[in-house]
Amino acid sequence: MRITKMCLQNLRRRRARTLLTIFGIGLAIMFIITVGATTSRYITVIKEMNLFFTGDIIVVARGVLVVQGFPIGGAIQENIVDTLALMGEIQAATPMLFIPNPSETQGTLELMPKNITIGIPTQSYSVLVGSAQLKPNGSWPHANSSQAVIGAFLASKYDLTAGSKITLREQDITIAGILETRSAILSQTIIMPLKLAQKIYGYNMLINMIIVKPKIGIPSEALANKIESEVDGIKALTETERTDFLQPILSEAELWNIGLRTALFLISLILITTISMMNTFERRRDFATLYAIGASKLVVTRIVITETTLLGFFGGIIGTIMGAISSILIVSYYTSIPAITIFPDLLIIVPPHLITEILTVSVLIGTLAGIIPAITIGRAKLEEILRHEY
Amino acid sequence: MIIRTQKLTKTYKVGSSTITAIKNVNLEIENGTFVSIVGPSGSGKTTLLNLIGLLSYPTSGRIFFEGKDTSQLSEGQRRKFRLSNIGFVFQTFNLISTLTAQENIELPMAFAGVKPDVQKERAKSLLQSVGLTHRACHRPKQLSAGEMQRVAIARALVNNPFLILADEPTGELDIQTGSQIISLLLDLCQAQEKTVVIATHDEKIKKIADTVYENRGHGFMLTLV
Repeated sequence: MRITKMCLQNLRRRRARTLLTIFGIGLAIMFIITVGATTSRYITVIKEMNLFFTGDIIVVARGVLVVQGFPIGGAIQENIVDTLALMGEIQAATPMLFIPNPSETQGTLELMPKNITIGIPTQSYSVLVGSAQLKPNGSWPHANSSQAVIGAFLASKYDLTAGSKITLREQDITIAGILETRSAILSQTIIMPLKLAQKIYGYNMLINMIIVKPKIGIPSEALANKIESEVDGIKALTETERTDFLQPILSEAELWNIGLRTALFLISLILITTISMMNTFERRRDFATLYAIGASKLVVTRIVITETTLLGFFGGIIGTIMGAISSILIVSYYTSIPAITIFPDLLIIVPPHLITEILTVSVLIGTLAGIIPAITIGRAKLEEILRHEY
Repeated sequence: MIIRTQKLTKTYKVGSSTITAIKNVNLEIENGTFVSIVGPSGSGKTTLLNLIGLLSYPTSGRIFFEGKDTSQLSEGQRRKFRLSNIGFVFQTFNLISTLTAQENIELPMAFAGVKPDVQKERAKSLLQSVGLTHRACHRPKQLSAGEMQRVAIARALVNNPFLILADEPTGELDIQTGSQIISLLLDLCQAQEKTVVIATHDEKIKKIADTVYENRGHGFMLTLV
């Protein structure tokens, strides 16, 4: 306790240096968190897309780019669903129209389209939303109605509730319900009956994807091959094929993320070590005195390491706060959602495991940074330090 | 006899040259005496004190405490010996600037593993004995030079050592304050039977010391007083 108090007082005494060091570490940590949160959000969104149709086969038009489960453009005849339904190996085939609406910003850091429209048969909503529930007073749209369900993120952004009216491509739509979900995709999605979506986007008797659920025990690869051989102009992608397409990109993004974090942590390590070297050099007489009056080298080592650990800890705290704020501001900028409404989702944008990891590593970095100065002062010749001062 | 040195020599290497700080010093210090080591700057007073205080190792020769050869002690044993048997008073006080007067006095007790409440009690008592009760919560920079030296003396006494080594304890003080500090050390020697060894170039201290070792250019020799 006395050592910690002494260390805190030492750091306070060199206030300007301590604050600059903490701020420097804080900046590095802020950058780590911001980049980490942003890239991991990207990766989460992309991975989440794959969670939608686990084990299913996605049928899309040949030549269309598919990001995980969803096609970017393309169209296929709706009646292909009837052809597929006749195959004995298929348990269910659900037609879907997936329309991402590009946002105005179109920045490289853009996490999501402005909104997404998904048209799906009314009896098949669960294929898309799984166990997600509607907010109280909401209901699922009926077939042949002009109703839609919207994700909570969109509802909050545009201040919409069940019963609100919106206009989509000159089509008046009534919001039947608000979908409560933590999914980044569904929370920005307008879900409506397939017929309504086809009408709004001019996909007459057309869709752009079919979700095929194989019967139990039927191998996906074999079924996908059969579908492709029996239906012209389509591509049938299994879960493995969808994942394989993006895996190298995701791996590379994660690798860059790790590389950047490592570099910034090393910068922090060098910064704290340098400052600690300066501090210990200036206080070598104090340390020599401590030795002279009976302190062990372990005590002196503890003093040096406690100080650097405190620098790392405070830098980590400051950096985490600044990183969380900057992550929210970035998300706010690229989604046009007021930052204040994003704050409740702080722990989604900056996940607790990231905060824990950063704080742990910054404390560890601080501890490591104290080793070289502690060794240096431990090796110094006591009598020469004391003599030098006379 | 409490301390005896035998042909104590210490050399330093400065670049390629070797400097002999002291050579073949033989001295004997009796228990409870006030010993003055006198000599001009650079005569090896501090080196001798550092060697007796087990802060550094002699190049050759031996130091005996109550007949025991200290050359056999490990670094840890030397530290423990210092902690319980030797108190240091430095010319520049060497108080830890971030700690209060009382905390500075408590430090050696903390290193010795004394319980915190005992530390506080003993530190307060020592502050009282050096007349600084009202300065207990002041940091060194809030104290005068004389007060700082009194805190340093209290710190030196806190683990009840038998030997006090004071290196130019009046070097940074004015004449009046210096005299008060010497009186304090002398009182320790006489009232508490501490052995006090002072390195100084102050000729006046010679007059009050029981024993004087003086270096007049031919090594430290016993001077009759």
